[in-house]
Amino acid sequence: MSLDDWHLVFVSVCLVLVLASCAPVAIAYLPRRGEPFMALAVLGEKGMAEKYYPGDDPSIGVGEEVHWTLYLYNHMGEVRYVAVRVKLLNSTMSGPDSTSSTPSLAPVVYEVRRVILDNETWLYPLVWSLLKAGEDGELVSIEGLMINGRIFQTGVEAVHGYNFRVVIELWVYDEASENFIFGWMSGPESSYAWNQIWFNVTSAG
Amino acid sequence: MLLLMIIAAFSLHSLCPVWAGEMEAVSEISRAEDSLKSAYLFVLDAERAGGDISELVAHLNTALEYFSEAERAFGSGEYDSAVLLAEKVAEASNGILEEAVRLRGVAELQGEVAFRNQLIISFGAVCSIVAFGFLGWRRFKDYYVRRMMGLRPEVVVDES
Repeated sequence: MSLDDWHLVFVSVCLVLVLASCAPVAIAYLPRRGEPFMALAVLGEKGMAEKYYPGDDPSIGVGEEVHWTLYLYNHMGEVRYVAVRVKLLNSTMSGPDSTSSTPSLAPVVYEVRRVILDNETWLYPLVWSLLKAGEDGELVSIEGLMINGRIFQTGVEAVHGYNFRVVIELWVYDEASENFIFGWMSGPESSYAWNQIWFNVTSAG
Repeated sequence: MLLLMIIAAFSLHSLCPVWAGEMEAVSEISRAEDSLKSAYLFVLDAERAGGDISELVAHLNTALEYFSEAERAFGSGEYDSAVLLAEKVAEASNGILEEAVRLRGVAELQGEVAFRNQLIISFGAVCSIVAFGFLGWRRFKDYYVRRMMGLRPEVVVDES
């Protein structure tokens, strides 16, 4: 190698070392990479995506306990204050719509709030049962629900007790509006997380 | 008429404590909710400043459990209990808020010091690299030239 070639090697090595020594300072100014998101899932009796109903039968009788686990994961890059809202609907009531950014208009039956750290997974047991169901001709109505030991009055009805659904929505506290909003903001876009599980009511108690 | 007025006054008198209790519970629960929101926002600020907020979040979640209990008590008409629980939530939230403010201050200071130290270290490293690079190059160049000067030219006979 000629002297000029060696000179080039020396300058290159020095340049690489200078850049490496400046990297820690530069990193502090770099924007965070990766898309922020939150995840909501409903797990069955044994904490897995199966056995959502007692005896694996979606027809639920009054007094039968249903054991679910709510799974929530925060990957927003910082702590988040969230509310999980549980609603009871039939097949004709409008559910949440991610396209039009609207939550279900049904009243909230049960709500649980939590502050979740970044990268934290939160599991919350949800045990519910039908407390009282009434029959009026073809219509079967759920008049009372017990969720995690608390009693809630409802009045949702369905023909022959078919196709009720429990809708679970994730609401996140928004700093700008100082309120809980359905879903969360990810840059300029909104994202949503919600689940629904269908069931039938077998007999009025 | 007089009898009706007396009955009405008596009814109002007996109902007032219930209304007052309910209104107080509503007010305390609302205050507790606002305190929780404020505490959360200050915890968020502390995290953004680089503080370790895991302990504060654990306290916030405990306060949220009390808040849920207060709502349950209110729903079942136990207004006194709801008021007590809501006051507990507000008190806990204010404590968390104060701690979050302190943590944010400490974290910001630590962040500034760490950044300044990093800047000094980086600057020192760059200066050292430039200085040692320059000196190293000078020495290498001298060595290279000496080595080249010491070489004897070899005469190659072309026999073709």
